[in-house]
Amino acid sequence: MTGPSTEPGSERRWLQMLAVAAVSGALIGFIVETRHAPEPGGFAEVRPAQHIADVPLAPTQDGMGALRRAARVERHVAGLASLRAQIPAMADGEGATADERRATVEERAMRRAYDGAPPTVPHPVDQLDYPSCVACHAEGLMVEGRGAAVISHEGLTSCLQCHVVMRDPLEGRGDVAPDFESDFRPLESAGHGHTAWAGAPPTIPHPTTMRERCDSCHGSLGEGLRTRHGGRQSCDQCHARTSSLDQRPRMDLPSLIP
Amino acid sequence: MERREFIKMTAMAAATAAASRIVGAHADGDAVDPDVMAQTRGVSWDKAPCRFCGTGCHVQVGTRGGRVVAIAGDRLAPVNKGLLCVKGYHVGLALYGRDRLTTPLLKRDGVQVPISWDEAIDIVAQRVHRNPAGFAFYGSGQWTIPEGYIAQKMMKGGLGNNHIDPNARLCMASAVTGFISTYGVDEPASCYDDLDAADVVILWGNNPAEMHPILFSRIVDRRSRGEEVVLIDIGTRRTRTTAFADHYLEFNPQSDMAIANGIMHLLMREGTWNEEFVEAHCNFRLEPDGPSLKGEATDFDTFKAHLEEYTPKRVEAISGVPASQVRMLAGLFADPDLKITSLWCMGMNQHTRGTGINRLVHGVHLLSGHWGREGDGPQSLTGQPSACGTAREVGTLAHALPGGRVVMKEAHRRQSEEIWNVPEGRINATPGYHTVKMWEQFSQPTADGGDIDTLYVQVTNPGQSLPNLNRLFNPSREQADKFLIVSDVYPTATTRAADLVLPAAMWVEKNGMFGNSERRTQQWFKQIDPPGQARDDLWQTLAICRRLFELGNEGMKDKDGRFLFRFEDEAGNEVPSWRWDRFYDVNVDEQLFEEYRRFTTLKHKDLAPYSEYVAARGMRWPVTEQPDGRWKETRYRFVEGEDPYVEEGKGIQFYHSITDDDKAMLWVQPYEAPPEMPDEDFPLWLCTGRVLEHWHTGTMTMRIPQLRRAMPQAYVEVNRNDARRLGIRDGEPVVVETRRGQLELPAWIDGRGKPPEGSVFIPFFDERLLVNDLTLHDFCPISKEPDYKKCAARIVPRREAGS
Repeated sequence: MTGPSTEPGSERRWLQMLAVAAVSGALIGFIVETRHAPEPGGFAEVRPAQHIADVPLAPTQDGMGALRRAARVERHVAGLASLRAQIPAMADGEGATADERRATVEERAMRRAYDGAPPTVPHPVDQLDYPSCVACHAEGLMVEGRGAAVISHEGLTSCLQCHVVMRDPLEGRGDVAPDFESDFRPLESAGHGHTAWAGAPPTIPHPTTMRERCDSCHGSLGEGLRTRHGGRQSCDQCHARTSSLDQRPRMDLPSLIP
Repeated sequence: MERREFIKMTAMAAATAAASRIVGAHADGDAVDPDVMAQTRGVSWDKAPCRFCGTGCHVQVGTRGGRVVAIAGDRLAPVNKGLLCVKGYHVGLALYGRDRLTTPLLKRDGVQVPISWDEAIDIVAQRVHRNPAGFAFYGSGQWTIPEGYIAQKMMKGGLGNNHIDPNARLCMASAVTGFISTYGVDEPASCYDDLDAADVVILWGNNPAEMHPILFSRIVDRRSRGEEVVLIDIGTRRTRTTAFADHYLEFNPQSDMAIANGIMHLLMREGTWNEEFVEAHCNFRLEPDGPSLKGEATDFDTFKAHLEEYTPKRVEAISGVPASQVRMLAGLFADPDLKITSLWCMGMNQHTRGTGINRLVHGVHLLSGHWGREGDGPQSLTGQPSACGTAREVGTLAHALPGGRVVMKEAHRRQSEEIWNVPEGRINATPGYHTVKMWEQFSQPTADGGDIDTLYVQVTNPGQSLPNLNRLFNPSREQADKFLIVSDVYPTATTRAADLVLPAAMWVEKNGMFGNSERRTQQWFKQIDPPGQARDDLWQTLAICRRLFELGNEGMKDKDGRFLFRFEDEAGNEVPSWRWDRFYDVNVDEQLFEEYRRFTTLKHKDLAPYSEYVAARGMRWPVTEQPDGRWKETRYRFVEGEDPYVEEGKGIQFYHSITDDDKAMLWVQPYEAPPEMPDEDFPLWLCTGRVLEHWHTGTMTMRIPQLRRAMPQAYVEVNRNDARRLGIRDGEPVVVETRRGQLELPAWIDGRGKPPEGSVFIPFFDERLLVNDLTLHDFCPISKEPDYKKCAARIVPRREAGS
């Protein structure tokens, strides 16, 4: 990863905030205050970022087409490189504690209907514009101590078709009927993988479809799920996948043993 | 903390289930290794098509202890390749709203009270037996194929009563009449493979980013693989789809007809139409005496002369789309090397000239020769999971019989009577009431000629989805002799108004088959039990038929005096499947499907045996048996090398042509103004539609917390300039009025969609805010499909409305 990595001085910091505000074509705000107990849906309380109109990074609808999509995204991402630089480095021996792990598993469950469901979005999004989710989530970044996870699946660009914000976009206006009660009992978090003996590398206890980037959850932004050996990149070399979870087609092959 | 206890509880339940159910995937039934069991957490997975839209994604359903606990995209499914949309990922939660209907309810003195199933079935049968001609069956594009088939046979083959119509009349009837009048046979010739190959995708009044998200991402995700695909959004409001589009052409409601004619005008004027294709494959058609399904033959000169007035300037004047953009579209169609796919859904179908605009879009493709290659052709999309499979193919429409047969033709009636083994003449030759007419006849007092007195609704919610509810739905509720029977899974606007409510099983609580928008027939097995006394819709129909038979109803007897429906075990003995405790003794779906298959070869819509669908993730018809015994699906109809029914050397052959010469029709179809337009009193256009999170009337999706909380209420989208002029603030409650009704709801400025100045949009999912109190019930004279997309409205801030 490249990008300036100076200590965030006040000017630097202002620039970073400006960069985030620019992305507010899609994200109204991202600067998180003290984290309160998360609501269902894991919605964190957000103070909308100051909108700065003359930042040229986020073109309006009328400017669509003038700038190719990829180019636009690239410019956003470049502006955010310094925020990416704040992602803590991962060194061996900094694995999550049991408490951290428990807290993370609980928070994850708040943001998912069941283990494996697409997480809900814990911050406001623009309802209509081209989703610039990738600006922050392509490589992940840190804003004031809050992490934006790396997208764990590549090439999917209509982000809002799977990830919704579990909060009324017209909150406080209109007259919303009370929730229907649901008796759905979800599949719970996968927990630990299977270990052949004490000290053996655990198997991967969850499907790996759409979870192609292990660092999305197990990297240094992964809080309670972060690995204790973050320097290593080739996860599958030690941690086996579970074929029964991966929907691999099973064929009735003739046995070679008579 | 509650959450932790909850997780502990579910984990315990899991362990119990794991111990009691050591059986893996449904199909193979192998015992599963305990290690694997630990890894899979006791969850068994099996396939099913998604319950919601017409895209036809397959999901993997994770069940444990008799309950659905998780959903995954099915990686073996060609439609969605492992991906789902937010509705699909949460489809399993649709089963678990706490207010599921679990017992039959009869209205006594204005209160719905529980009764037994025996009593409920008897009440329905007695009413039908007393007045079979006054009975109507209102079904659905969410009916499974066997559910639609048994209802169809009961009505047309049993009672000799054609008053059966599906809610699909409200969503895709114009696509049907468009296909029939152009190609002589219903349903798209092309398929979703186009989306992977097209250079240009044109969306005609269509918002797939929210309504068909998987198809949309299948298009736009090509860009992240470095492919170029030009997306053109021809719409009446900016949507999430627009945000991905290269071109946005905003047109005045109904003027899509002028745009299509304008493209053809330029192709003609500039000589860029495909003369060779038209010469070989097209005839010309005209409606000399007003709207008609098949019209009359005309010639090239008439066709050309009709297009002359649609100059880019005139099209701009009618549609508001700049002449330069009309030229841009024509330029694309003029390039024979480009592959152009047109997609449409409700925008073109819910249209008072729905048949006309469907013909025109087919016409643009035919005239330019952009037809019949992968990525190059017109494709209509459906909103319901089996609008094609059940409503269109089984033909649960007032005039149709299965397999593309119609009641008006004697030969077709004879064929059907033979397959059903009923006496000659059993099938009534007069088409029954289409949806709007059916509800009008039910609403009209009996003394004034309202000859429908008993109406049975399955798998749909007309109390919310019919247009102009005060005319079509509410009146019968005031009349003592009008009896409304509703089978559903949750309380809805319709069940609340019903005289008899029947609790239904849904989705993987029963066996089923669906057919999606690309002719793909899909199958799934029952995976869990329905709650309480909820029972399959198919069983309900069968039990009513059996009770009628016991009452001596002649219609329930076949030619030999036996019960109309016979289910057999492997030894050939009859099984009393009409008894609920015996209903799953044999696979009733399979036996009905095998009977239905005999119809499907009559119009080249051949389906494979049931067992083929068990193994597949759907197959696209016609599915034909190969010399080696395999069954092969068809991607492109009428195209040599793809469609087995095209003769060798023909290239393209429209073998169901209405002119019997293998040609498709190019229609003379002028622009016509809509029946109601904004005026001084009602100065705004009102459009209605859907949102990503909710499926149709929200009966299921409003009970899924993730979806409901993301979009818990309806709203009216207002343009910023209109809001400023009217003094409306964002979020402020306003009253929207039409000549038919009024509705108070919050205004949303620059919200999910952005209507142009002078128009507003309201979604119809919210049962507390019924926009169909406002809509028009005018319909396309050919398809009988109402226009929910445009009428005249006005809007006033609540303070002025004084409420």
